[in-house]
Amino acid sequence: MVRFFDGESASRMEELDLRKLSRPLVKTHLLEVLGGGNDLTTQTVGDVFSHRGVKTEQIDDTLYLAVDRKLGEIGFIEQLSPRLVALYSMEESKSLGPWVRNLVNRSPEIDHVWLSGTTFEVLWDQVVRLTRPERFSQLAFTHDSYFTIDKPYSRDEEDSDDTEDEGDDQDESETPVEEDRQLIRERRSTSFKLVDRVGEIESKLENLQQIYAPFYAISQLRFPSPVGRGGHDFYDNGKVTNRSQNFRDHRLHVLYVVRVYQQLLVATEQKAWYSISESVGVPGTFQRIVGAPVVIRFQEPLPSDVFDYWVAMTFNRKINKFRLWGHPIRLGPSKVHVYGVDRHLWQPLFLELTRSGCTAIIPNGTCGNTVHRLVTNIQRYLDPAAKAFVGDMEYRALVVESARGVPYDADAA
Amino acid sequence: MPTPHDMIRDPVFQLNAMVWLAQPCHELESITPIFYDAGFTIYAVEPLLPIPVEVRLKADEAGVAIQKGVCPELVLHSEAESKFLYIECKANSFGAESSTSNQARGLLVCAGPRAADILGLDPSQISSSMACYCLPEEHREALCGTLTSLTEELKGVGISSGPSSAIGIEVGSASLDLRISTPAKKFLELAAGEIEFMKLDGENDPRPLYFVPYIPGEDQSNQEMLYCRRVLFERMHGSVLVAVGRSKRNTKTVFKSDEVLNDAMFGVYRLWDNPASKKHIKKQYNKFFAALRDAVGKIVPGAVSFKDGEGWAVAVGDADNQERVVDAIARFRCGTLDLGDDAQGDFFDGA
Repeated sequence: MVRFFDGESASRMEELDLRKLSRPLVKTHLLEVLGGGNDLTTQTVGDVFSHRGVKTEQIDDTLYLAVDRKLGEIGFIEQLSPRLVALYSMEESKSLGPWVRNLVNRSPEIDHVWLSGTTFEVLWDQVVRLTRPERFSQLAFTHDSYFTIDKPYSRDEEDSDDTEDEGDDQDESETPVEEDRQLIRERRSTSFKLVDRVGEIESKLENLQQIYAPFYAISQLRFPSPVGRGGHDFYDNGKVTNRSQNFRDHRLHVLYVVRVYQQLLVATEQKAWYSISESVGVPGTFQRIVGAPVVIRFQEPLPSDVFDYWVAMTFNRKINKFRLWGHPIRLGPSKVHVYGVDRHLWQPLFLELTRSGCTAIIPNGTCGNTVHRLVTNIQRYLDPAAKAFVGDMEYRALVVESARGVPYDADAA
Repeated sequence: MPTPHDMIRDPVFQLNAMVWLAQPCHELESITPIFYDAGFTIYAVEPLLPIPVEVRLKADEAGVAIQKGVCPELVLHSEAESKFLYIECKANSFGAESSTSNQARGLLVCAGPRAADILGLDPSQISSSMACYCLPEEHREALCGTLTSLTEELKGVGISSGPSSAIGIEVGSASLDLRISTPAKKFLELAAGEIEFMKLDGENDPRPLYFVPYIPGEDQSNQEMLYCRRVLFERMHGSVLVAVGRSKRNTKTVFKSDEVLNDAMFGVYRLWDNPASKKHIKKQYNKFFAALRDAVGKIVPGAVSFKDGEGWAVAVGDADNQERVVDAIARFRCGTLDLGDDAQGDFFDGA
């Protein structure tokens, strides 16, 4: 697989230089499989995908060929850790993206890897440490104040099972919008790329963030390749595009981010999981509540109409941006409690939502991915500068701690 | 919406507030975790603490009523200083002659020299302990008087007890405040005796998320009881949805009442040793499932069923059927349930 993709990567880079791409670039989709209270002792990765209509042919202990009944061969699935897999594919983005999204949407055992703006900030620090300042990199920023009403909210929208505008989730970088069809939006909607030298970006980014909050909502980051031109573009939904000529280098970067994410998942769960545990060694003697709340604070309180729309659009719709279910208990005009469920992973989650932020209680067994999806989506749709805490620890510090000690397998650029 | 004055009398609110005060987080919007800041974490929730036999015999000989075991709402622990604080929540004070004083005597004994035996620890693991009542501020002084009387009474019959104190909750201008009696203030090593622990914003109900939504047999107003029941039902609803959402196709998920209720109450349900309370809550459980069966049955007939000896179960068929069952369960609203004998409160309105 590695040799095959290596050859393809070199060819694609040559074609990119000539601006004549004959086949799509190699792309990776990072996915979490199972997690939480489940494990893979009874089901292999192949079983999980097979149950969701993806035929898998096992090639070796950790590698599978993925075949869709209609589309044929999709790519290779590699199990990188007990919970995280990579799907490597050369399908075009416009078909692979929806295919992965549909797979995740219909599979409670499979979720995207969620890289929040805060996680990208920490990864950016690694790019700065390991790359010469004159190398070029690319950052994308995506923030859509989705819950800011630019049309009157109608109660008719409640309980609607309509799917949301999937276009919002698409990787717009690869699907140029026709000028004539662009929607008129009168709400903050930021989506832009910044390509510049690493040193230049590093010297300006913090100032830019302080001036304009959407600069916190990093949704894509390019790790420059240390072995040639180009690099590896990581997106917030776990997609990674290889824009280098070396697939082995691409895979090494994927492995690095997977290791950081794996540590982040475990650290989040260790700190945040609420459970009743034995106080002393004798089973059944005393029960204590252990765990820590996850708190997300907005930089500025949300306007009342945005808060109401957020609550309504999240809990009155089956399909919503946060993939949550619950019947909110109103505790006032700007406070609700939801003893709800992460509808994607089918795990319980208790939330207090106010105009100033969100407090979450994560019962034992609820996957850490739920927290990272929550943080990512809050930065993307509500407040790009929101700060998250897991117990006493700032979320950013948790990411830094997770990244510390993970080997970054790249030579000096 | 209940007023803050109503709320501070409610033992379930008091207990959950005390739990939040021990949570490891400084970024909470409206709560200052003073117990956590003082180095205390939760050691036990509603533990059953047996009173030593010789104490009970001595009390019996002296004609002093004492419970054979006590169950404080919360035990806090400072690992660094090997301290234990037993917290009991009350709506009102009580006198030395009241039946509640039987429990108080037991709690005073628990905080005394036999604390290590009662908790099953080595004496070296306890440096000091204290019994502490949490109640509305207007009753704090009276209760401290009662605790002094009971301590004297126990001493008079040769029963050793430990220190005691009280924490009063009162409604301030923009916050709920704690007024902490001197012994507890010293025990917790707090600089101030009056602490703003929960902000009031004037427009929202200050209740935090409830860890423990229900305590059987507590003196609650009807409105508070309905709120707690609503939370309990929402939690049960979530448990059922999680189980069915994750179930395999063409299977039947059988629910055990003990497991669902334990889940809904953060594991506290299985600690209850009062059969009447368990019977009462199981009635609520059956009421919830019966309503769910009726609602889901209109969309997918027979999906939710009850069988003697087995209990409640939810059956799903192929992928399409499972989705319809899950959707029907998700659309069911606990707020439509008749949760009590009286009219429903405004918290049933939803968002």
